Amino acid sequence: MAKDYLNIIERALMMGLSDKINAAVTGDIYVHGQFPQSEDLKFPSLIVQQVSSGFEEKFHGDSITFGSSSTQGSGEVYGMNFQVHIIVDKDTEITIGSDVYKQRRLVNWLMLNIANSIMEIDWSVYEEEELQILERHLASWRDVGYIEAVQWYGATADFQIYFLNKR
Amino acid sequence: MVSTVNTGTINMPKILRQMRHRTSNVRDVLFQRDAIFDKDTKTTKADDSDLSGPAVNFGYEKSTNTSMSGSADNTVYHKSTPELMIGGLKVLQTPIISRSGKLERTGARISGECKFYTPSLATIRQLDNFGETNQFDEFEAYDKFIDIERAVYTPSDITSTGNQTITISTGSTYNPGYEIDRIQFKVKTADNITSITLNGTEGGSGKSVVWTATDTCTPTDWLLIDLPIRDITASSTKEVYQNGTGLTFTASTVTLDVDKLYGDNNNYLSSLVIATSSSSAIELKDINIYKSAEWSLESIKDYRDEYMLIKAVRVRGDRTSRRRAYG
Repeated sequence: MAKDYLNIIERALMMGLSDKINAAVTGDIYVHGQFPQSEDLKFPSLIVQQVSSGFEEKFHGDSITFGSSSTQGSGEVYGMNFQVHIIVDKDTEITIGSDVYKQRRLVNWLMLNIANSIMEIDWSVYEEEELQILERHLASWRDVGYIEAVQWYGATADFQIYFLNKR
Repeated sequence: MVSTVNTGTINMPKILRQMRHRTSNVRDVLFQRDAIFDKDTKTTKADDSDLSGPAVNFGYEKSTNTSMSGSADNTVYHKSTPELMIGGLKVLQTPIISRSGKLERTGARISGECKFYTPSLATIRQLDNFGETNQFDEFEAYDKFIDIERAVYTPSDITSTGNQTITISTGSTYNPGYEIDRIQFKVKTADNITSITLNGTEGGSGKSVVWTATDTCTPTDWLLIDLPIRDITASSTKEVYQNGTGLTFTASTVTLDVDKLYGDNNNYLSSLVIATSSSSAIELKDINIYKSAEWSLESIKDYRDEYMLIKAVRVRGDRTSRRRAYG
């Protein structure tokens, strides 16, 4: 039986992102799976939305051994696509260092630091599962802007992760 | 109704009382709100050290429904919130039956829409159970009204003592079961209700659905009991509300598949048994084994002291002919 990699990675990604980014600020930044109910929504809110997944490439063959294990298995590169959304309410304040960040300044800080956090995640810290992450790509932030009706600042990025789906 | 509630200019409760003598569009529906389960959250890393920041909410529910204090900054708060299932809500429904078939990815589904006119919220909050439980504040979108779409078997009222066995098929007639969804009755006794059993014969063998009272259920005043008999598994639980408190009933035996009871001498509904803890006097009335319609509330317009207008859609619905054919 293959491991439950999609859930393992999704949970580790959310925990890793929350842990790293909250360690850098005074105040709380909230990380949600898709999508928070309105009662749960607090700002700043980071939403990790899994949008697709599937096989990327099969090059490991069937019935082979992995590493020092004598157990035969199969595997391939499997990919997951996420969209990471930032939502910041007009009045949200977060203290970073000695400065208070709000609105577009806070969004700018979050965009870069989310990218940094994702690249630095040590997956074994967050899930006690053997996990071999092969690649991770955070594409450019887009839709950086302001929604007047709800007075939210925000941005969205596409994020891909590739892992060894061993079973 | 207590005198502190303003009845408004049209006095909706009085209108409903008067209308029900002339039209069956005035319904006694069952109000249902699903249980609200714990959210799956994490506050620690793999080595059990704390995560920085608030608890991470993964955004999906667990199957547990336990209270958590959330006292520390990064811990989780949850107030145990079981299902609400409160009967005796009198509403005007137009139309009663609305069916349209749609072929969807899940197959052909019967859907429909209707409007409910209800008394004002202030009036409803004074009704039995609605006013007594602190879980009910107002109607919300996705709450449900369960209506008796069609009364399939309506046994006579009973005044007797001890356990009661209500015969559905006499031995010369073999009544089918595929049409029915739920059992409803009002009961009054000084004894505890210990179980409710629906018996049937399926392929020539005796089978049953047994709801066992997990909490002590002593209906010294009239108590409405309404329980499903399909789409349940052994150990499923349902709540029966008495004085604003949910009393849990657990499905202890689920061997009967009512869809397979098409009504011949080997496949039929045989009896309904209401078991009590002793042999005191018992009264049963409004016994109804029925086909239900489940209406999901979609939009709610509240005209304050006057009435509420609720638009609802029928979200689940299968075709009775297919139940019979496919079992």
